[in-house]
Amino acid sequence: VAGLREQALSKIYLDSGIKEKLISMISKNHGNMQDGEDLYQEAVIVLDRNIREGNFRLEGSLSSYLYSIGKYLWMNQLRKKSLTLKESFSDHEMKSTAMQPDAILIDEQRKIYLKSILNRLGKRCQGILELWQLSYSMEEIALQLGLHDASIARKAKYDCQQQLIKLINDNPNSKLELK
Amino acid sequence: MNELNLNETTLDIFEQYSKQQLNAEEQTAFKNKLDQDHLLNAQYQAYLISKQVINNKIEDSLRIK
Repeated sequence: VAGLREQALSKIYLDSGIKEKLISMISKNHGNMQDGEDLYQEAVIVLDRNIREGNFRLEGSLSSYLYSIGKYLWMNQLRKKSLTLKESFSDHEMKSTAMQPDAILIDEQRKIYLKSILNRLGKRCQGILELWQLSYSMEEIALQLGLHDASIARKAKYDCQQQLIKLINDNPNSKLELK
Repeated sequence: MNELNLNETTLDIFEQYSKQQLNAEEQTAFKNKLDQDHLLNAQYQAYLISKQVINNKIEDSLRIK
């Protein structure tokens, strides 16, 4: 499953047509090629997140969808610098990206802090929770991790989840700024 | 409930509630419960953060360094 997901994302990422269109838009709007490359990567990540979280609603082509996400991300970056996007943003594009501005980019410092909490959890638990969040079935998790069966995988997942939640509760700062 | 005995059933309900998989009546009932029970609400917030933590790891793995 992960292999297929990564293959699909890789195929999308390597679609130079979409990337070039986005880079061109950014170049005309206070950015350069590197900004475009970075933003395209983030757009693919947001696409993946939207699919995983059930927020993906494809009403046009995938390239338009990805372009809208990229444009939206760039608009947010420009806003932080008090700049504006020259290109207009249609209501349809806003709706189709299905994104909340605050949910797109999590503060980098907070990310680093949360990562430090995760690192206190064992690698095995990190792996189990990652597979679970990627919607692997318990059978698949058991298979991937060499566990006897799905019920053991389920128990392991709960144990890991409880450990992680305990780590979060033990670090009250992790709850700050949760939107 | 305290932070050490967050049981499997509660975690399952958190999951279903966050994904809006409960029926409308259950969704409202659980929301009311969260509004009234501060400890449960705190646990739910911790649960949401735990999801965010894992999500960050998944997304980091997609980034080309």
